[in-house]
Amino acid sequence: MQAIETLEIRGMCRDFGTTAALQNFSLDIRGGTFVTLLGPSGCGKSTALNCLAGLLELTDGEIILNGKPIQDTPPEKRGFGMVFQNYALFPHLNVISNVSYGLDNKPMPRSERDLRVRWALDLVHLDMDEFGRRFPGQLSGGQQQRLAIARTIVLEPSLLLLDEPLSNLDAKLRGEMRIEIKRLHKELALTTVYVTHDQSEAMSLSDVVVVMRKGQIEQVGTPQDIYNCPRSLYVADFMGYANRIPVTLVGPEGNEWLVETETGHRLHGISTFDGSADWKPGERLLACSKPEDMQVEAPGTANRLSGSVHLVEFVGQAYESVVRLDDNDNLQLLVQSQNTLTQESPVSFGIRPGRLLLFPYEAPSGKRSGQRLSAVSTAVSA
Amino acid sequence: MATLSQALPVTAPKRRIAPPRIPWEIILFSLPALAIVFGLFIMPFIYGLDLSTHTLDSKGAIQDGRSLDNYTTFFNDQSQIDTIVMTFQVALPVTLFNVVLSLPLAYAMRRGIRFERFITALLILPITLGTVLVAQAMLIYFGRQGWFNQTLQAIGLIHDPLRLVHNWLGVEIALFIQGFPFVFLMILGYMSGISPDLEKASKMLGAGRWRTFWSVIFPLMLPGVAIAFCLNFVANFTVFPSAMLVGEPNALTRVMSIAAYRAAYEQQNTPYGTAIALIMGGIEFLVVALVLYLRSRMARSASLGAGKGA
Repeated sequence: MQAIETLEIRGMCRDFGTTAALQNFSLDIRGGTFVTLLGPSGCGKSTALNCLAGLLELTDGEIILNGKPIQDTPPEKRGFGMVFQNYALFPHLNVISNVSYGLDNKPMPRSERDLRVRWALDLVHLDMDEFGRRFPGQLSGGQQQRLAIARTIVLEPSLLLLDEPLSNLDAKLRGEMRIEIKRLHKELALTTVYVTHDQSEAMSLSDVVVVMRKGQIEQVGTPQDIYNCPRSLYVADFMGYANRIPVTLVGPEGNEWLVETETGHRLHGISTFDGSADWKPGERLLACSKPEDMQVEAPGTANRLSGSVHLVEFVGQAYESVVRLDDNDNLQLLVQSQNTLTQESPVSFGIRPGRLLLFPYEAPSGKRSGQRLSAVSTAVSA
Repeated sequence: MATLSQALPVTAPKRRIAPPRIPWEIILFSLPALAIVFGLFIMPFIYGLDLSTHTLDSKGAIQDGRSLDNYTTFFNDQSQIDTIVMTFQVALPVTLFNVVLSLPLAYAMRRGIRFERFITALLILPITLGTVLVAQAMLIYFGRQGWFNQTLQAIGLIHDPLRLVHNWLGVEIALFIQGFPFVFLMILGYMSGISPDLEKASKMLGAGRWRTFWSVIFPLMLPGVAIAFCLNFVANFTVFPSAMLVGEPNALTRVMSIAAYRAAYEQQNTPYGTAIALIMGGIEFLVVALVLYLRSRMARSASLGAGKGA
């Protein structure tokens, strides 16, 4: 199989009827990298994967593999491998036959084929002597997942495509298989494109994360980039910047921006937003931060807000509380503390400097940031 | 239950294991259905089985003594053996044709196509019309002076009118019109139940269309194909009105149901007619059993064959 040196995707588009599922998707993938397409359902990430695989034809654009356009090559000739969300194992074939299915399309001596099947099953830690004669229906979810991967990597594909492969597994297995996928990528140095809606999967597995929104690329970067410097409110939201405070810009102060909340508190924030150079004092902004960056125990008197505790939740490494800001009942924030807080008691918390990100103001859509808070409050009040 | 209680420590109180409750409500609810099945199927079957072991005396009255005379008479009569062959000649080709035509059509339509509702409605129409109406329509349409022949003659494709009714072909056409929709819709239903991801997976593993069809679609279709074949074959094997109306009931389409009808109602020999009907049922049973056996063998060899990869 021809190894990937470069895979260039140029302006890839795909329409379904009149709706554009994928628009102007351009991405360069270097050989051996692990790329994740991240986004909520309907953002076009699976469409992009299917276009890459050749299972969907492009409406427009080019896919160039090592300098040769391949967008018109049928999927069976591309030499890519794909692991499906529901595994798509052949139910009438046993484990060995499922793995050798792809090898049967190539001329090769039987001894070599047997050897390769064993190699692939060993690689995913599926014991051929124990499971070889079983049918997919006789395997557990995790074993089916391993089989689906073995069936694909036995062909040593130049590009491995994974479509939400872990979403049908329970939490514990998901963690295990995530490590397995990481290990396989390291051992085989397979160029991989992985589709998921789970940001923690994307963070832990990838070299490059591509955040998608409504069929378009929103941001491309390393996991650290995406996590720490989201370039838009959308990406910030997806990365868990759950707290949003409407503020008004006062002006720049050193490397930071000084903003004022609706209740007159002054805060220091930074901007990772591209258009922030045009910001003028008086501009309406949203200040966003993660719950773990709003700590009750934070030292100092700068960048502090106060409110009253509404709900307390234990989240493992800390307690997370829903806090209603003083003089502003509509604004609820998630705040962390090392010790549990008493409900309805007043509390003051500090925001870690440099971890309050500023974005242009957007009216709350109700569904996004409020979701987690309202879910908590309904659960408690019920 | 027993093994569980044995595995439990002795201290486990035994009386807490309740005896399985008799599901009275299920039994009661199924009684009417059972009564209908018994009264309308099992009773007549036993009655017929008994009737077929009697013979007629010289005055045409049913004799008391039981024997297998009717069956030996049947199998010693060359014309009756020919009837069996003729019935197969009528039933088998059209059944195979229906299945073989349905497979690629259903494959092409498996993901839905334009005007699918319209096509489905068009297919269901002949079923609603009933055999006699279809036969009548065929006599008019496919007859010597029918539109079909007139059109072909008018455009100069043929000189003499084609003989499309009152022969073997007429019965085949009638059975096709009535049987094809059943077979097609059944196979289509089965086909659209196969996950499209399996096809995609096959492609991604380097298989072309042909291999995908034979290695994935067809083996998964086998149960559906076998059932559709069996049901359609049984329907075609018992053909009566079409064989009478658009066939040659005295010659090439003298199928078993006609033989049974003649024995029972023209020669007034009900026991012999019943025996013929039961032989017909027996043959159907054997064919269905054979098809289902072949199906299970094919399914097994498909899975093993791909494993050995020979």
